[in-house]
Amino acid sequence: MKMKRRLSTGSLLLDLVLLIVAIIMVAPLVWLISSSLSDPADAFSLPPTWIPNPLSLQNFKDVPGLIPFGQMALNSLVVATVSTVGSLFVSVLAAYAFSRLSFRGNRVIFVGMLSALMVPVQLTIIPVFVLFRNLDVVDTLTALWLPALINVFAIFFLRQYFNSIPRELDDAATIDGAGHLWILFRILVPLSGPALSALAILTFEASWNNYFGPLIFISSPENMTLPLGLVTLQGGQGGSPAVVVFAAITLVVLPVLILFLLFQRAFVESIATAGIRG
Amino acid sequence: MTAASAPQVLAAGEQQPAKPTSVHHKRQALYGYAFISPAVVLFVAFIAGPMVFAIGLSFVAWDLLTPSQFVGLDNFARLVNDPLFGKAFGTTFVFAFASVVTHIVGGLLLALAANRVMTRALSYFLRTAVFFPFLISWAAVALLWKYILDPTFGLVAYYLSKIGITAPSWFSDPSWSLPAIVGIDFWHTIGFTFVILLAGLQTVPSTLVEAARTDGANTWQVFWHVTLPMMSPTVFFATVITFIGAFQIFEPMQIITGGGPDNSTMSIVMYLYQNGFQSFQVGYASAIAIVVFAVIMGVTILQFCFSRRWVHEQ
Amino acid sequence: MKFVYMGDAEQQAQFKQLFAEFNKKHPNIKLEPQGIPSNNWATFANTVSTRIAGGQVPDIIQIATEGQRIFASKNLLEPLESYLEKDQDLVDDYFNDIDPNLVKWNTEYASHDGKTYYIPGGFNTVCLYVSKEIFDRAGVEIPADGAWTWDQFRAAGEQIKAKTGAFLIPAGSGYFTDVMPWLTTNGASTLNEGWTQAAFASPEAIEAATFVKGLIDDGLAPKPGGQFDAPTQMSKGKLATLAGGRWPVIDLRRLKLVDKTVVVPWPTNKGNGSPIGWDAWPITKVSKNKAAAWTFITFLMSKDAATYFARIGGTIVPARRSVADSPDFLDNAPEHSERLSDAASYATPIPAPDRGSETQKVIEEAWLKVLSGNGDPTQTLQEANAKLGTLL
Repeated sequence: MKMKRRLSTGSLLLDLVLLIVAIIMVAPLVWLISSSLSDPADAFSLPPTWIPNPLSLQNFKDVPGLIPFGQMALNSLVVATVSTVGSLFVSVLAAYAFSRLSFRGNRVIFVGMLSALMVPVQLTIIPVFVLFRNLDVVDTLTALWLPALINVFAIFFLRQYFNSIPRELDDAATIDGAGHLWILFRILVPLSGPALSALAILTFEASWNNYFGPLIFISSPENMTLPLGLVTLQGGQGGSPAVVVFAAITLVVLPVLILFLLFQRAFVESIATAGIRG
Repeated sequence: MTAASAPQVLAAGEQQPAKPTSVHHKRQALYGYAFISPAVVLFVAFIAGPMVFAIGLSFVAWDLLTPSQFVGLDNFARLVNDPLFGKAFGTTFVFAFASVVTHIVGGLLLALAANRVMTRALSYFLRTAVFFPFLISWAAVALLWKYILDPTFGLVAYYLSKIGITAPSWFSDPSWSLPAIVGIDFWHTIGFTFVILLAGLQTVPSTLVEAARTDGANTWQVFWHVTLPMMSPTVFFATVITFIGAFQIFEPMQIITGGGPDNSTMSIVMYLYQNGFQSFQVGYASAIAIVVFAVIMGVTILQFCFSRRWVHEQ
Repeated sequence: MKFVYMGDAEQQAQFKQLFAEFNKKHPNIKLEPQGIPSNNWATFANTVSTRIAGGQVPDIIQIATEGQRIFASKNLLEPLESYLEKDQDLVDDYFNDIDPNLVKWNTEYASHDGKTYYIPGGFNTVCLYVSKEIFDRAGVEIPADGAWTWDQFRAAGEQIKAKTGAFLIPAGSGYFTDVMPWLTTNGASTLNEGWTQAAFASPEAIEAATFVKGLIDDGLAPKPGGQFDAPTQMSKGKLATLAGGRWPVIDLRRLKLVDKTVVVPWPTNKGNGSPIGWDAWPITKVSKNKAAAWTFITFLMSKDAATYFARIGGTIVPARRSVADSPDFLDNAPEHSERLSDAASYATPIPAPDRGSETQKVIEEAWLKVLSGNGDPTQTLQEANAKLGTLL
């Protein structure tokens, strides 16, 4: 779209409005980070101090004394990574079968899965809890990543994507004697970069931020992921000092912020593509 | 979602693979079953099986400890007569409606305002600021906002007092608690709506907009008669996805208000959680879950019907 | 042997030291402690129930008053009579050193059939942590003997507000810390003494709620409806007192306020009052290590363990009076911290019937409704009282 920048007052006014909107949107986060960097006795002044003086890392040092933060971060990372890699692997295989292979039941199974796209997690959580209780995996990380391996949306999305890749490519490979695994992982997967990275970002994000699953399945602090761990900081009689809670939140938000600033385009496009194509 | 891709999907699905010899066929089928088997096993274990089991559970009374008892339709009868369920249902609809309206209107305004030539710095700052909160866990958002909204020591109360407004007691006043959560939810997820609507807006061909302008249409007319119809699939998608997400709202209620005060923020999923995992009335909770499912299913079906009739297709 | 207890990571770190001490003495018993952080005891009881539902049955559970009836009534626990007889001497020594009320309540409230299922441990009561600095600045005297009335307290608040702008006290709706102190100092409670009938709408309870609402209306207490950090605001000179049992001492140490605060009993209208909740240790019925579990309980009852635990910290008042009165408990804590253990003599056990978490919710919601002015005190407490009646 080509537009000339018109330096009218209207345009400037709109710029100003957008600037204010953006400032209001970031203000809570700036307050979060600056409070967490304050000396415990200086935090939460009114009017707010946006730049802490003196800077203090004390609150961050106190976080591990309240929750096993490192262990929780590791748990979050493990669960998010296994969920993402595992669900993409399962989805890629299924999507290939649904897109390229003819076998009895292909369409029936696909449509069956697709019709469950709208099943909310709340419907399945109690039975899954009972199942996990019988499998003795309640309060383990397995309970968090295992159900995440099935991602109907990813299967649907990838099947659609594979269908848009010309079949002549795999036909040529077949003539050269390539098997299905070869075609899938050497031709289709490399050509599906944007779709895979969009799905990977969305899945990782969903897992990293998941609160409902851990709330149901996990009760030991050493098995908790970060979102649940954060909320337990609020617990205990009287709760933890707010500055330490803020420091812990900052520690959870900051890596995401840095990743986002580095890969902003990928993040935004993953949402947009999934949104527009899905 | 775009109309263009739908027929293509189906057409590709119908295509017959090359060289349909019988050996080749069998081999292909074998691979097919092997490839879908992990997905099918997981699907049965974690979606289809639990769904059937949940339906079964809705006919029993069970506390997860002592043996379950078949109670027929009692759980559903109780649902109908449970005023708190009715209230939670209503509250959830109000929340979902407010969420959809604020997100779509706010998202459209932002997208329209942002979809023009701006200084790079402002454009970058705006996109970052608006989108980033979406990437933060609800747990962190809820914890943070409870402090921000404190009626005495919070940021919002402070700035409101500067312009002469006394902040309400957000989470202890039943008439302000739900609006407060609508506001927090808006801050948290508007970036998602914004990005989707902006992407949709950018698919509108500029030639059409310019043609309309040349014909003498004003900004509003261009928006109403050209832009909005052209991007209606995206708006529709954003509406449905926002509604479904909002209908399952849970975290802020669980973390900030516990459903209170006076059950004014008791969402249906919060109610399900309390019944299922706090009072261990698993059968009753399953009945609630089935209602949640039915509503989401209904909205999805409506989406299909309406989008055929109303949404402009390219 | 599995031991489950409630505690955040900090408390867990302390417990772990205690367990190491135990393992030194009993190297042949393998202790597997599991701490569970929870918002409150009702949630903790639910989490442990979930675990038991999930098939993980611990040998010993540390359960506070709020959960004791629930666990006992679910038939999950082993009667302890035979064990008590076996170690009569130690048991006698222990029971003679703790507040007699604790012994009495342990059978009265923590049992549904008269048998002994628990050994009572440390407890918490509620007093006020008062900022000497703010009171000084406002020129208000802190009662040396700790005796003051609601009216004197309120008058102090008005002077503090006028002179320093600080709030007198946070007015929350936490059942234990915010609701019960006001009720008990006015001769009221939420349930009757046997926890069989609701008593939340008594004229005294209504008077208490109305009084607290008055503090908010007159700007002596911050409005509820959000969240703020009370110890931080105290250190900034914005809050003159805060309520708590032993636990605020951790924050006060952090903010270097230990020497600037003093523990004072709750102001009274009808007489001294405080809620009390205590930990107790039961052995589960299904435990396969009952003998080892009992050995661990005798360790927890011992003076050595109590002293050790008080010394390393802990957010609880030791049950043994000899330990609570020792420097192990009183050093590095605000002046008059012994008043927390004194309170056991006049305290009311926190009413916690079988459906404790639902009861608590009803009480807290009603209290908040009155405080925030969203309901007439009489009508709101009467409605809540009726709801409580259906939960008993």
